[in-house]
Amino acid sequence: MSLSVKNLSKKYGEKTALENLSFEMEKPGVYALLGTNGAGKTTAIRMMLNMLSRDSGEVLWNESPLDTATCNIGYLAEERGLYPKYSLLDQLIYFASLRGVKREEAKKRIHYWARRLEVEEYLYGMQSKISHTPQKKGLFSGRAAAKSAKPKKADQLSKGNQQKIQFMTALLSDPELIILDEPMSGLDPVNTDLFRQIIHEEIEKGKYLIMSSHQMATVEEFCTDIIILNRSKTILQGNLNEIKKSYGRVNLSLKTEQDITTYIEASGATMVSEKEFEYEIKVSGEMQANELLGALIAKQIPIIRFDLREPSLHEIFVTKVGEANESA
Amino acid sequence: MNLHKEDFAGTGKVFAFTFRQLVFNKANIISIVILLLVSILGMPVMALIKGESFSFGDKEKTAIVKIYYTNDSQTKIVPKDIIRQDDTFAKIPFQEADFTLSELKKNGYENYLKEDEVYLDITDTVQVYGTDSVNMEYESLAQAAGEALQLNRFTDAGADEDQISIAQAGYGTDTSTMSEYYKDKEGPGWGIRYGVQYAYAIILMMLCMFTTSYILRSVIEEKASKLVELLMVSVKPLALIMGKILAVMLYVFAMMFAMGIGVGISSLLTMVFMNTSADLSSIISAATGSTISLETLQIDPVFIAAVLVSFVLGYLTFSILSGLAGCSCSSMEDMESASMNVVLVLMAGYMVSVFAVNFRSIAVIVSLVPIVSIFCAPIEYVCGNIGIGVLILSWVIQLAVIVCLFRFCARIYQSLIMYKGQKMKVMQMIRLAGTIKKEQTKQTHAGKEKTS
Repeated sequence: MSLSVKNLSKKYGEKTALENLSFEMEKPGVYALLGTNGAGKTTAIRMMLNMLSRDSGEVLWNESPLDTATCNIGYLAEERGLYPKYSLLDQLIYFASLRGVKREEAKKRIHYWARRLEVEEYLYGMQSKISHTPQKKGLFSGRAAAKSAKPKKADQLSKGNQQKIQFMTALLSDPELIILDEPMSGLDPVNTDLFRQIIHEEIEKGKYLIMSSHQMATVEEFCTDIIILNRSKTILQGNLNEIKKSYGRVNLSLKTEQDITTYIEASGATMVSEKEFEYEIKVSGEMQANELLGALIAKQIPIIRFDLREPSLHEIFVTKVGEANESA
Repeated sequence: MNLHKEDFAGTGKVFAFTFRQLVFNKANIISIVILLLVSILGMPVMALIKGESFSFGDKEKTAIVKIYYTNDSQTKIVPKDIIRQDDTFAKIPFQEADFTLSELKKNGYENYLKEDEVYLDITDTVQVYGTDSVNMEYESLAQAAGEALQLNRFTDAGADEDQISIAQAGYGTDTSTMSEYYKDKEGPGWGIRYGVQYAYAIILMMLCMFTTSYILRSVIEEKASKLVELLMVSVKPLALIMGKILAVMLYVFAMMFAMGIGVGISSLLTMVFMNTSADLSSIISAATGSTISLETLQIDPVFIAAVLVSFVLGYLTFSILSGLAGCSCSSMEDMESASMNVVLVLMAGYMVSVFAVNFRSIAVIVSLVPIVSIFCAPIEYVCGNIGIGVLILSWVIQLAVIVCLFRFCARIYQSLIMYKGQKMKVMQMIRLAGTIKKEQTKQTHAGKEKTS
């Protein structure tokens, strides 16, 4: 299986929304679409899914145009939506049935995902919990229990819980291609971890994932390849490890027991930050870092930590966007 | 936009889900219960409020409370004889008067008769006097008494039942001019045509108006809730909008049908428990203000088929128009103006149909023009103003309009699915559809070139 996106372009009048977006996924993994606000990430996703017309370009799945008929797609849209007044369970069964999942199988899958995402009580009510709890005797106890036992409607859920239900929707059909537009936005740390765990599982199952996000750390954790968009144009594209390698190991973290500012200045490196003898330093390469290390050892300065690493995705993103904006 | 089988995949599922949600929606259940109660209890309650039996036709219960009578004729008459002629007076007490007609006239009615009491004087003539200045019931009473007098005279003369019926058989007369002869040959008269046209058009219009608001709400709600983006990865826009429209159509039709049954039950209740009747003719007559005899229309399977097919096509046309109006909106605030557009088209069709009923010469034209033909064609056919060929041609044209509208609607729906902003105007939508078609043609050509 392979996904191929070729020269996707879109204009609204004179305004270019996306310019020649191309990428390929030849094996399962995660492809990240990164970009500033309004860079064209969501437009790209909507064009890939035929929700927006294309001025040019094509999207192929196994050499055929990507379509609901040719590919089982799971999609978590940036703008989340559920029927506010309908039963959640009915909605999920409906969404699954539209993807060709039989009712009984859909119920099983919903039950599984409800347990995984800890939303059982909203889908099925609180009966199980109530039945294990001794009923309080009182005038309204029965009615109160019955009220709390009711399954919830979408408009009664918090934003995070609605997001979980929509994540379920994306996964219910066991899709081959999963497209997640800002999947973690608005989630608390506990639920972010839950989502991360599930995404890892889907990657292990050999799924193709396309993810757009602003949370660089999260994307860095999953993705193998990236595209950075800025003002509708691709400014950086490729395998994340190779991109990082191309930048070299230029980030040095140093922790000592005394002030080493003079040594850093003498080495020609740039100090980014300093806090209680913990230094973040930008070096030109491994040689400069080793020279600094040698100088410190020669003066018998105790070194607690010496960590020379490649730039983070966040740093690459900020640098590239900054450069692009300057040149524009 | 060429239609393929996969464009329709999922229509049934969208239909089933939308219909189910409409049926089990709490607010809808409450509305249906209220509508049913109103339709079932309407007639009996009106009858109770009026303090008398309610019917669409003539009153069958009299307001007279007591009948004083004197019989100075040579023939013996008892109250039973009068009741046998007209059972309207069966429950009214009869009492032989202890005053004479001359006393009544001399001293004034009010000294002998209370309100709603009457005096029946039978001599060679039958006269009824009461306190009301005009009362049709006095006529009925006088007629019943007169017929009883006549019958008893025959009986006293020794005539048997057969002889009496021969003597009372009577005869009719009729005259006709040439122009009237040809008018009759042309079919039902103006009154009947107007009544049937009015009744059919108003039912179709009501149904469409109800449906318009439901479809608009359903389409806009889905767009506004951003759900549609999620659905689009599973189902094509055509299937989505089609399933939705058909489900709402069925739901509203079922609702109206239930109301119809409610009215039937209501009529039955009043008929059984309040001694009244309300058949279809009298209901239509009461609604349209014209006298209609449905026998004149010769209701047969062809009549029913003609009306049903036209009705379904008309209903479908306006439902798609409603769907299209919904597609042009991105928020619930736009719903009112979108609804107004559809209602205007609906009203235009309706008004033309009611106006056109006056002119038989334009029957063919109004039966073929889309939108107007929905209202006119079946009635013009039923009234004999157009032939079956014109009716079928009208259906074919309407069907073509429906297919075009559906495709246009799906195209607009797909294009505006992510649209946020002011409601699109009709011309903007037409231009948009044109642009999409050009793009699609360009893409198809590019694909073909690549393949070759």
